[in-house]
Amino acid sequence: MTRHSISRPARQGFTLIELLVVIAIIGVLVALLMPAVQQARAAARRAQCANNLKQLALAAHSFHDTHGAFPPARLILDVPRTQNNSGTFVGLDEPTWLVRLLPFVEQAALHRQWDEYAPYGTNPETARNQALPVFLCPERDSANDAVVEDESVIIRLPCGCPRGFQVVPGGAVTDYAANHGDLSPGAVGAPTDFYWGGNGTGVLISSRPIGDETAIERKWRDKVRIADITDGTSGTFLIGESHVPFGQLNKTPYNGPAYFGRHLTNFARIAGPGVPLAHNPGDQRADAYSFGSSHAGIVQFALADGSVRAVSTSTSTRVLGNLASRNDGETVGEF
Amino acid sequence: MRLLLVTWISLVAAGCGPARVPTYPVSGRVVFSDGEPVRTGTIELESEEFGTTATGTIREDGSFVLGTYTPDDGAAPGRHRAIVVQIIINDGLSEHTKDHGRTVPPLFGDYDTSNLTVVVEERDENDLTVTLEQPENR
Repeated sequence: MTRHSISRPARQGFTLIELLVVIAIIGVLVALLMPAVQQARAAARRAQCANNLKQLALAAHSFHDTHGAFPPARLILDVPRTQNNSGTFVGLDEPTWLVRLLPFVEQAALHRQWDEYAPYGTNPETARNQALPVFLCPERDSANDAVVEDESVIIRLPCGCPRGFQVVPGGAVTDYAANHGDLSPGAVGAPTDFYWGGNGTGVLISSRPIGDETAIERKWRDKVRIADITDGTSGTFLIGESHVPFGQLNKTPYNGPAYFGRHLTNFARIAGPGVPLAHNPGDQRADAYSFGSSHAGIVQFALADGSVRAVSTSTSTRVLGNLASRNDGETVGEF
Repeated sequence: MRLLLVTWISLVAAGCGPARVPTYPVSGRVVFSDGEPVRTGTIELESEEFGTTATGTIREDGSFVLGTYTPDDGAAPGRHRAIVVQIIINDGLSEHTKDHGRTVPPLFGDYDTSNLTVVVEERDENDLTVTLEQPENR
Protein backbone atom coordinates (compact mmCIF):
# COMPACT_ATOMS: atom_id res chain seq x y z
CA MET A 1 0.00 0.00 0.00
CA THR A 2 2.70 2.41 1.01
CA ARG A 3 4.94 1.38 -1.89
CA HIS A 4 2.06 1.82 -4.32
CA SER A 5 1.41 5.36 -3.16
CA ILE A 6 5.10 6.25 -3.54
CA SER A 7 5.19 5.04 -7.14
CA ARG A 8 2.22 7.31 -8.10
CA PRO A 9 3.04 10.57 -9.84
CA ALA A 10 4.05 13.14 -7.27
CA ARG A 11 1.48 15.77 -8.39
CA GLN A 12 -1.96 16.12 -10.02
CA GLY A 13 -2.24 19.87 -11.01
CA PHE A 14 -0.15 22.44 -12.92
CA THR A 15 2.83 24.26 -11.48
CA LEU A 16 2.75 28.03 -11.20
CA ILE A 17 5.30 28.31 -14.03
CA GLU A 18 3.15 26.25 -16.39
CA LEU A 19 0.12 28.40 -15.62
CA LEU A 20 2.06 31.60 -16.18
CA VAL A 21 3.36 30.33 -19.53
CA VAL A 22 -0.16 29.44 -20.66
CA ILE A 23 -1.51 32.82 -19.55
CA ALA A 24 1.34 34.59 -21.34
CA ILE A 25 0.65 32.69 -24.58
CA ILE A 26 -3.06 33.52 -24.35
CA GLY A 27 -2.13 37.14 -23.65
CA VAL A 28 0.04 37.34 -26.77
CA LEU A 29 -2.71 35.78 -28.89
CA VAL A 30 -5.29 38.26 -27.57
CA ALA A 31 -2.88 41.13 -28.15
CA LEU A 32 -2.50 40.01 -31.75
CA LEU A 33 -6.24 39.68 -32.17
CA MET A 34 -7.38 42.91 -30.48
CA PRO A 35 -6.35 45.34 -33.25
CA ALA A 36 -8.10 43.16 -35.82
CA VAL A 37 -11.27 43.11 -33.72
CA GLN A 38 -11.09 46.87 -33.20
CA GLN A 39 -10.61 47.43 -36.92
CA ALA A 40 -13.54 45.20 -37.73
CA ARG A 41 -15.68 47.18 -35.30
CA ALA A 42 -14.50 50.48 -36.79
CA ALA A 43 -15.23 49.19 -40.30
CA ALA A 44 -18.73 48.19 -39.22
CA ARG A 45 -19.38 51.64 -37.74
CA ARG A 46 -18.03 53.25 -40.89
CA ALA A 47 -20.34 51.11 -43.01
CA GLN A 48 -23.29 52.13 -40.83
CA CYS A 49 -22.21 55.75 -41.22
CA ALA A 50 -22.11 55.37 -45.02
CA ASN A 51 -25.51 53.65 -44.94
CA ASN A 52 -27.04 56.67 -43.16
CA LEU A 53 -25.57 58.93 -45.86
CA LYS A 54 -27.18 56.73 -48.48
CA GLN A 55 -30.54 56.98 -46.70
CA LEU A 56 -30.28 60.77 -46.54
CA ALA A 57 -29.35 60.97 -50.23
CA LEU A 58 -32.36 58.80 -51.12
CA ALA A 59 -34.54 61.00 -48.89
CA ALA A 60 -33.26 64.12 -50.69
CA HIS A 61 -34.16 62.52 -54.03
CA SER A 62 -37.62 61.58 -52.74
CA PHE A 63 -38.02 65.19 -51.64
CA HIS A 64 -37.00 66.24 -55.15
CA ASP A 65 -39.61 63.91 -56.66
CA THR A 66 -42.32 65.35 -54.42
CA HIS A 67 -41.43 69.04 -54.43
CA GLY A 68 -39.60 69.43 -57.75
CA ALA A 69 -36.33 70.58 -56.17
CA PHE A 70 -33.81 69.63 -53.49
CA PRO A 71 -34.61 71.04 -50.03
CA PRO A 72 -32.99 74.35 -49.03
CA ALA A 73 -30.35 74.01 -46.31
CA ARG A 74 -32.21 76.84 -44.57
CA LEU A 75 -34.02 80.08 -45.34
CA ILE A 76 -32.24 83.45 -45.22
CA LEU A 77 -32.53 86.72 -47.09
CA ASP A 78 -30.05 88.10 -49.61
CA VAL A 79 -26.52 89.44 -49.03
CA PRO A 80 -26.55 92.56 -46.82
CA ARG A 81 -25.51 95.55 -48.91
CA THR A 82 -24.44 97.46 -45.82
CA GLN A 83 -22.55 96.07 -42.86
CA ASN A 84 -24.74 97.06 -39.93
CA ASN A 85 -28.33 96.18 -40.79
CA SER A 86 -29.32 93.41 -38.45
CA GLY A 87 -32.67 93.16 -40.21
CA THR A 88 -31.08 91.04 -42.93
CA PHE A 89 -30.90 88.09 -40.55
CA VAL A 90 -34.61 87.60 -41.07
CA GLY A 91 -35.39 84.13 -42.25
CA LEU A 92 -32.59 82.16 -40.64
CA ASP A 93 -34.47 80.99 -37.55
CA GLU A 94 -36.61 78.56 -39.53
CA PRO A 95 -35.99 74.78 -39.41
CA THR A 96 -33.27 73.33 -41.65
CA TRP A 97 -33.12 70.76 -44.45
CA LEU A 98 -33.07 67.93 -41.91
CA VAL A 99 -36.63 68.80 -40.82
CA ARG A 100 -37.78 68.90 -44.45
CA LEU A 101 -36.34 65.41 -45.00
CA LEU A 102 -38.17 63.87 -42.01
CA PRO A 103 -41.15 62.51 -43.99
CA PHE A 104 -38.71 60.74 -46.30
CA VAL A 105 -36.79 58.94 -43.54
CA GLU A 106 -40.01 57.41 -42.15
CA GLN A 107 -40.50 60.15 -39.55
CA ALA A 108 -43.79 61.57 -40.85
CA ALA A 109 -45.24 61.66 -37.32
CA LEU A 110 -42.32 63.74 -36.07
CA HIS A 111 -42.56 65.97 -39.13
CA ARG A 112 -46.20 66.78 -38.34
CA GLN A 113 -45.06 68.40 -35.07
CA TRP A 114 -42.96 70.92 -37.02
CA ASP A 115 -43.92 74.14 -38.76
CA GLU A 116 -41.19 74.65 -41.36
CA TYR A 117 -41.93 78.36 -41.69
CA ALA A 118 -42.23 79.20 -37.99
CA PRO A 119 -39.18 80.25 -35.96
CA TYR A 120 -37.30 77.30 -34.48
CA GLY A 121 -37.88 78.42 -30.90
CA THR A 122 -41.67 78.33 -31.29
CA ASN A 123 -41.69 74.74 -32.48
CA PRO A 124 -42.42 72.09 -29.81
CA GLU A 125 -39.54 71.16 -27.56
CA THR A 126 -40.17 67.43 -28.01
CA ALA A 127 -39.65 67.83 -31.75
CA ARG A 128 -36.53 69.97 -31.32
CA ASN A 129 -34.91 67.47 -28.94
CA GLN A 130 -35.66 64.37 -31.01
CA ALA A 131 -32.26 62.98 -32.08
CA LEU A 132 -32.47 60.43 -34.87
CA PRO A 133 -29.93 57.64 -35.48
CA VAL A 134 -30.09 58.28 -39.25
CA PHE A 135 -28.71 61.80 -38.66
CA LEU A 136 -25.80 60.47 -36.58
CA CYS A 137 -22.56 58.69 -37.41
CA PRO A 138 -22.08 55.79 -34.94
CA GLU A 139 -18.33 56.46 -34.98
CA ARG A 140 -19.04 59.59 -32.95
CA ASP A 141 -22.51 59.82 -31.50
CA SER A 142 -25.40 57.78 -30.26
CA ALA A 143 -28.92 59.17 -30.25
CA ASN A 144 -29.00 59.10 -26.43
CA ASP A 145 -26.50 61.94 -25.98
CA ALA A 146 -26.86 63.91 -29.23
CA VAL A 147 -29.00 66.69 -27.74
CA VAL A 148 -27.89 70.18 -26.68
CA GLU A 149 -29.64 71.73 -23.67
CA ASP A 150 -31.24 75.17 -23.81
CA GLU A 151 -28.71 77.79 -22.82
CA SER A 152 -28.92 81.26 -21.31
CA VAL A 153 -26.39 83.66 -22.77
CA ILE A 154 -25.68 87.28 -21.93
CA ILE A 155 -26.35 89.55 -24.89
CA ARG A 156 -23.62 92.15 -25.29
CA LEU A 157 -23.73 95.34 -27.32
CA PRO A 158 -20.77 96.05 -29.62
CA CYS A 159 -19.24 98.12 -26.79
CA GLY A 160 -19.17 94.95 -24.67
CA CYS A 161 -21.89 96.21 -22.30
CA PRO A 162 -24.35 93.53 -21.16
CA ARG A 163 -27.93 94.02 -22.37
CA GLY A 164 -29.69 91.16 -20.62
CA PHE A 165 -30.19 87.45 -21.06
CA GLN A 166 -31.34 85.51 -24.07
CA VAL A 167 -32.29 81.84 -24.07
CA VAL A 168 -30.68 80.04 -26.99
CA PRO A 169 -32.86 77.03 -27.67
CA GLY A 170 -31.06 73.69 -27.73
CA GLY A 171 -31.95 70.65 -29.75
CA ALA A 172 -30.76 67.49 -31.47
CA VAL A 173 -27.48 67.53 -33.43
CA THR A 174 -26.29 65.82 -36.60
CA ASP A 175 -22.96 64.51 -37.88
CA TYR A 176 -23.94 65.08 -41.51
CA ALA A 177 -23.74 68.36 -43.38
CA ALA A 178 -25.42 69.64 -46.52
CA ASN A 179 -22.98 70.45 -49.33
CA HIS A 180 -23.28 74.21 -49.43
CA GLY A 181 -20.70 74.64 -52.20
CA ASP A 182 -17.33 76.39 -52.28
CA LEU A 183 -16.15 79.96 -51.60
CA SER A 184 -16.92 81.30 -55.10
CA PRO A 185 -17.92 84.95 -54.79
CA GLY A 186 -21.61 85.60 -55.28
CA ALA A 187 -23.77 88.69 -55.32
CA VAL A 188 -21.29 91.24 -53.91
CA GLY A 189 -17.99 89.54 -54.82
CA ALA A 190 -16.87 88.58 -51.31
CA PRO A 191 -15.81 85.08 -50.19
CA THR A 192 -18.52 85.30 -47.53
CA ASP A 193 -21.34 85.64 -50.06
CA PHE A 194 -22.10 81.91 -49.87
CA TYR A 195 -23.62 82.45 -46.40
CA TRP A 196 -26.60 84.36 -47.75
CA GLY A 197 -29.74 83.29 -49.56
CA GLY A 198 -29.29 82.12 -53.14
CA ASN A 199 -25.47 82.45 -53.23
CA GLY A 200 -24.36 78.92 -52.31
CA THR A 201 -22.79 76.97 -55.17
CA GLY A 202 -23.61 73.56 -53.68
CA VAL A 203 -26.81 71.52 -53.90
CA LEU A 204 -28.50 72.03 -50.53
CA ILE A 205 -27.98 75.78 -50.17
CA SER A 206 -29.30 78.69 -48.13
CA SER A 207 -32.34 79.88 -50.04
CA ARG A 208 -34.33 83.09 -49.87
CA PRO A 209 -37.79 82.90 -48.35
CA ILE A 210 -40.52 84.68 -50.27
CA GLY A 211 -41.60 87.54 -48.06
CA ASP A 212 -39.92 90.36 -46.17
CA GLU A 213 -38.73 91.31 -42.68
CA THR A 214 -42.25 91.30 -41.32
CA ALA A 215 -43.62 88.04 -42.64
CA ILE A 216 -42.48 85.09 -44.68
CA GLU A 217 -44.89 83.51 -47.09
CA ARG A 218 -44.86 79.75 -47.01
CA LYS A 219 -42.60 79.48 -50.02
CA TRP A 220 -38.95 79.72 -50.95
CA ARG A 221 -36.99 80.64 -54.07
CA ASP A 222 -33.47 79.62 -55.25
CA LYS A 223 -34.57 76.06 -55.91
CA VAL A 224 -31.83 73.65 -56.98
CA ARG A 225 -33.13 70.94 -59.29
CA ILE A 226 -31.26 67.96 -60.74
CA ALA A 227 -31.23 69.84 -64.05
CA ASP A 228 -29.29 72.66 -62.32
CA ILE A 229 -26.43 70.28 -61.48
CA THR A 230 -24.78 70.86 -64.83
CA ASP A 231 -21.44 69.37 -63.72
CA GLY A 232 -23.17 65.99 -63.49
CA THR A 233 -24.76 64.39 -60.45
CA SER A 234 -22.00 61.76 -60.23
CA GLY A 235 -19.37 64.49 -59.79
CA THR A 236 -21.13 66.72 -57.26
CA PHE A 237 -21.36 66.31 -53.49
CA LEU A 238 -24.83 66.22 -51.93
CA ILE A 239 -24.19 65.48 -48.24
CA GLY A 240 -20.96 64.83 -46.32
CA GLU A 241 -19.62 64.25 -42.84
CA SER A 242 -18.99 67.29 -40.62
CA HIS A 243 -15.62 68.08 -39.09
CA VAL A 244 -16.02 68.19 -35.30
CA PRO A 245 -12.80 68.71 -33.30
CA PHE A 246 -12.13 66.86 -30.05
CA GLY A 247 -14.19 68.36 -27.23
CA GLN A 248 -16.60 70.18 -29.54
CA LEU A 249 -19.36 67.56 -29.74
CA ASN A 250 -22.78 69.06 -28.98
CA LYS A 251 -21.41 72.61 -29.23
CA THR A 252 -22.14 75.42 -31.67
CA PRO A 253 -20.62 76.16 -34.18
CA TYR A 254 -19.28 72.65 -34.85
CA ASN A 255 -22.04 70.38 -33.62
CA GLY A 256 -24.93 72.48 -32.29
CA PRO A 257 -28.70 72.18 -32.79
CA ALA A 258 -29.05 70.89 -36.34
CA TYR A 259 -32.73 71.69 -36.92
CA PHE A 260 -32.05 75.35 -36.08
CA GLY A 261 -31.29 77.45 -39.16
CA ARG A 262 -29.38 80.25 -37.42
CA HIS A 263 -25.84 78.81 -37.36
CA LEU A 264 -25.01 77.41 -40.79
CA THR A 265 -22.08 75.24 -39.73
CA ASN A 266 -24.24 73.07 -37.47
CA PHE A 267 -25.87 71.51 -40.54
CA ALA A 268 -23.99 72.57 -43.71
CA ARG A 269 -20.34 72.78 -44.76
CA ILE A 270 -18.27 74.00 -47.69
CA ALA A 271 -15.19 72.64 -49.51
CA GLY A 272 -12.77 74.05 -52.06
CA PRO A 273 -9.74 76.36 -52.28
CA GLY A 274 -9.12 77.75 -48.79
CA VAL A 275 -11.31 75.10 -47.15
CA PRO A 276 -9.65 71.65 -47.24
CA LEU A 277 -11.03 68.47 -45.69
CA ALA A 278 -9.97 68.01 -42.06
CA HIS A 279 -7.37 65.24 -41.73
CA ASN A 280 -8.72 64.20 -38.33
CA PRO A 281 -10.65 65.69 -35.40
CA GLY A 282 -7.40 67.24 -34.09
CA ASP A 283 -6.57 69.09 -37.32
CA GLN A 284 -5.93 72.75 -36.43
CA ARG A 285 -6.06 73.87 -40.09
CA ALA A 286 -9.71 72.99 -40.46
CA ASP A 287 -12.49 75.12 -39.05
CA ALA A 288 -16.22 75.00 -38.52
CA TYR A 289 -16.84 75.28 -42.28
CA SER A 290 -14.87 72.11 -43.14
CA PHE A 291 -16.05 68.62 -43.89
CA GLY A 292 -14.19 65.96 -41.90
CA SER A 293 -14.64 62.66 -40.08
CA SER A 294 -13.40 60.39 -37.31
CA HIS A 295 -12.45 57.68 -39.82
CA ALA A 296 -8.77 57.28 -40.67
CA GLY A 297 -7.74 59.18 -43.80
CA ILE A 298 -11.13 59.54 -45.48
CA VAL A 299 -14.35 61.54 -45.37
CA GLN A 300 -17.52 59.92 -46.70
CA PHE A 301 -19.81 61.81 -49.06
CA ALA A 302 -23.13 61.05 -50.70
CA LEU A 303 -22.99 62.36 -54.27
CA ALA A 304 -25.96 63.93 -55.99
CA ASP A 305 -26.56 60.71 -57.95
CA GLY A 306 -27.18 58.89 -54.65
CA SER A 307 -23.89 56.97 -54.51
CA VAL A 308 -21.68 57.12 -51.40
CA ARG A 309 -17.93 57.62 -51.82
CA ALA A 310 -14.99 57.77 -49.43
CA VAL A 311 -12.85 60.78 -50.37
CA SER A 312 -9.21 61.00 -49.26
CA THR A 313 -8.54 63.80 -46.78
CA SER A 314 -5.52 64.90 -48.85
CA THR A 315 -7.60 65.49 -51.99
CA SER A 316 -6.49 68.77 -53.58
CA THR A 317 -8.77 71.67 -52.82
CA ARG A 318 -9.22 72.47 -56.50
CA VAL A 319 -10.77 69.03 -57.01
CA LEU A 320 -12.84 69.51 -53.84
CA GLY A 321 -14.10 72.83 -55.19
CA ASN A 322 -15.14 71.16 -58.44
CA LEU A 323 -16.94 68.43 -56.50
CA ALA A 324 -18.68 70.89 -54.18
CA SER A 325 -19.84 73.23 -56.93
CA ARG A 326 -22.86 72.15 -58.96
CA ASN A 327 -22.30 74.39 -61.99
CA ASP A 328 -18.71 75.67 -62.24
CA GLY A 329 -18.24 74.00 -65.63
CA GLU A 330 -15.48 71.77 -64.25
CA THR A 331 -16.15 68.06 -64.38
CA VAL A 332 -14.09 65.74 -62.23
CA GLY A 333 -12.38 62.57 -63.41
CA GLU A 334 -10.88 60.21 -60.85
CA PHE A 335 -10.97 61.35 -57.24
CA MET B 1 0.10 46.10 -25.91
CA ARG B 2 -0.68 49.69 -26.86
CA LEU B 3 2.72 49.90 -28.58
CA LEU B 4 1.92 46.73 -30.49
CA LEU B 5 -1.44 48.14 -31.52
CA VAL B 6 0.03 51.44 -32.67
CA THR B 7 2.77 49.65 -34.63
CA TRP B 8 0.29 47.34 -36.26
CA ILE B 9 -2.11 50.12 -37.25
CA SER B 10 0.70 52.31 -38.61
CA LEU B 11 2.10 49.40 -40.63
CA VAL B 12 -1.34 48.70 -42.10
CA ALA B 13 -1.93 52.40 -42.76
CA ALA B 14 1.48 52.77 -44.44
CA GLY B 15 0.90 49.75 -46.64
CA CYS B 16 -2.49 50.83 -47.96
CA GLY B 17 -1.93 54.53 -48.61
CA PRO B 18 -1.83 55.99 -52.13
CA ALA B 19 1.48 57.10 -53.62
CA ARG B 20 2.55 60.33 -51.99
CA VAL B 21 4.60 63.27 -53.16
CA PRO B 22 7.54 63.99 -50.80
CA THR B 23 6.91 67.03 -48.61
CA TYR B 24 9.30 69.49 -46.96
CA PRO B 25 8.50 71.52 -43.84
CA VAL B 26 7.20 75.03 -44.54
CA SER B 27 6.40 77.81 -42.10
CA GLY B 28 6.27 81.57 -42.44
CA ARG B 29 4.22 84.74 -42.09
CA VAL B 30 1.55 86.52 -44.10
CA VAL B 31 1.78 90.33 -44.05
CA PHE B 32 0.16 93.26 -45.80
CA SER B 33 2.37 95.40 -48.03
CA ASP B 34 3.09 97.81 -45.12
CA GLY B 35 4.36 94.94 -42.95
CA GLU B 36 1.28 94.61 -40.75
CA PRO B 37 0.55 90.89 -40.15
CA VAL B 38 -2.67 89.28 -41.37
CA ARG B 39 -4.30 88.15 -38.14
CA THR B 40 -6.81 85.52 -39.21
CA GLY B 41 -7.61 83.28 -42.14
CA THR B 42 -6.11 80.42 -44.12
CA ILE B 43 -3.16 80.28 -46.51
CA GLU B 44 -3.08 77.60 -49.14
CA LEU B 45 -0.40 76.58 -51.66
CA GLU B 46 -1.09 74.61 -54.83
CA SER B 47 1.91 72.84 -56.38
CA GLU B 48 2.27 73.67 -60.09
CA GLU B 49 4.00 70.34 -60.71
CA PHE B 50 2.04 67.88 -58.54
CA GLY B 51 -1.34 69.60 -58.04
CA THR B 52 -1.24 68.89 -54.29
CA THR B 53 -2.51 71.50 -51.87
CA ALA B 54 -0.86 72.46 -48.58
CA THR B 55 -2.88 74.47 -46.08
CA GLY B 56 -2.09 76.40 -42.94
CA THR B 57 -4.10 78.45 -40.45
CA ILE B 58 -2.89 82.03 -39.99
CA ARG B 59 -2.38 82.87 -36.32
CA GLU B 60 -2.67 86.24 -34.55
CA ASP B 61 0.93 87.24 -35.42
CA GLY B 62 0.55 86.28 -39.08
CA SER B 63 2.53 83.05 -38.71
CA PHE B 64 1.51 79.72 -40.22
CA VAL B 65 2.70 76.09 -40.60
CA LEU B 66 1.71 74.19 -43.74
CA GLY B 67 0.48 70.60 -44.01
CA THR B 68 -0.36 68.40 -47.00
CA TYR B 69 -0.99 64.81 -45.82
CA THR B 70 -0.81 65.54 -42.11
CA PRO B 71 -1.50 68.89 -40.41
CA ASP B 72 2.18 69.96 -40.34
CA ASP B 73 4.19 67.90 -42.84
CA GLY B 74 4.90 70.85 -45.14
CA ALA B 75 4.45 71.12 -48.90
CA ALA B 76 5.66 69.48 -52.12
CA PRO B 77 8.89 70.89 -53.57
CA GLY B 78 8.92 73.44 -56.37
CA ARG B 79 6.83 76.41 -57.42
CA HIS B 80 3.41 76.96 -55.91
CA ARG B 81 0.60 79.38 -56.44
CA ALA B 82 -0.85 80.70 -53.19
CA ILE B 83 -4.15 82.09 -51.93
CA VAL B 84 -5.09 83.75 -48.64
CA VAL B 85 -8.72 83.35 -47.59
CA GLN B 86 -10.68 84.93 -44.76
CA ILE B 87 -14.21 83.91 -43.85
CA ILE B 88 -15.51 86.51 -41.43
CA ILE B 89 -19.24 86.30 -40.85
CA ASN B 90 -21.04 87.86 -37.92
CA ASP B 91 -23.82 85.37 -37.30
CA GLY B 92 -24.63 86.66 -33.83
CA LEU B 93 -22.41 84.26 -31.90
CA SER B 94 -20.69 86.37 -29.26
CA GLU B 95 -17.45 84.35 -29.41
CA HIS B 96 -17.29 85.00 -33.15
CA THR B 97 -17.38 88.77 -32.92
CA LYS B 98 -13.74 89.22 -32.03
CA ASP B 99 -11.22 91.61 -33.56
CA HIS B 100 -10.02 90.13 -36.84
CA GLY B 101 -7.66 92.96 -37.75
CA ARG B 102 -7.46 94.26 -41.30
CA THR B 103 -9.46 92.46 -43.95
CA VAL B 104 -7.76 90.57 -46.77
CA PRO B 105 -9.18 91.68 -50.15
CA PRO B 106 -11.24 88.91 -51.81
CA LEU B 107 -8.95 88.81 -54.87
CA PHE B 108 -6.32 86.98 -52.79
CA GLY B 109 -8.79 84.13 -52.21
CA ASP B 110 -8.84 82.94 -55.83
CA TYR B 111 -5.95 81.18 -57.62
CA ASP B 112 -6.79 83.08 -60.82
CA THR B 113 -6.47 86.54 -59.26
CA SER B 114 -4.21 86.20 -56.21
CA ASN B 115 -0.97 86.52 -58.25
CA LEU B 116 1.06 85.08 -55.34
CA THR B 117 3.79 82.54 -56.08
CA VAL B 118 6.23 80.90 -53.68
CA VAL B 119 8.97 78.29 -54.07
CA VAL B 120 9.43 75.40 -51.64
CA GLU B 121 13.00 74.11 -51.52
CA GLU B 122 13.96 70.48 -50.84
CA ARG B 123 15.35 71.11 -47.37
CA ASP B 124 14.36 70.65 -43.74
CA GLU B 125 13.23 74.21 -43.22
CA ASN B 126 11.42 76.70 -45.45
CA ASP B 127 10.65 80.13 -44.03
CA LEU B 128 8.33 82.10 -46.30
CA THR B 129 7.10 85.65 -46.03
CA VAL B 130 3.99 86.12 -48.15
CA THR B 131 3.25 89.79 -48.81
CA LEU B 132 -0.18 90.83 -50.00
CA GLU B 133 0.46 93.62 -52.51
CA GLN B 134 -2.61 95.57 -53.57
CA PRO B 135 -3.02 95.64 -57.37
CA GLU B 136 -2.41 99.41 -57.58
CA ASN B 137 0.94 98.90 -55.84
CA ARG B 138 2.10 96.25 -58.25
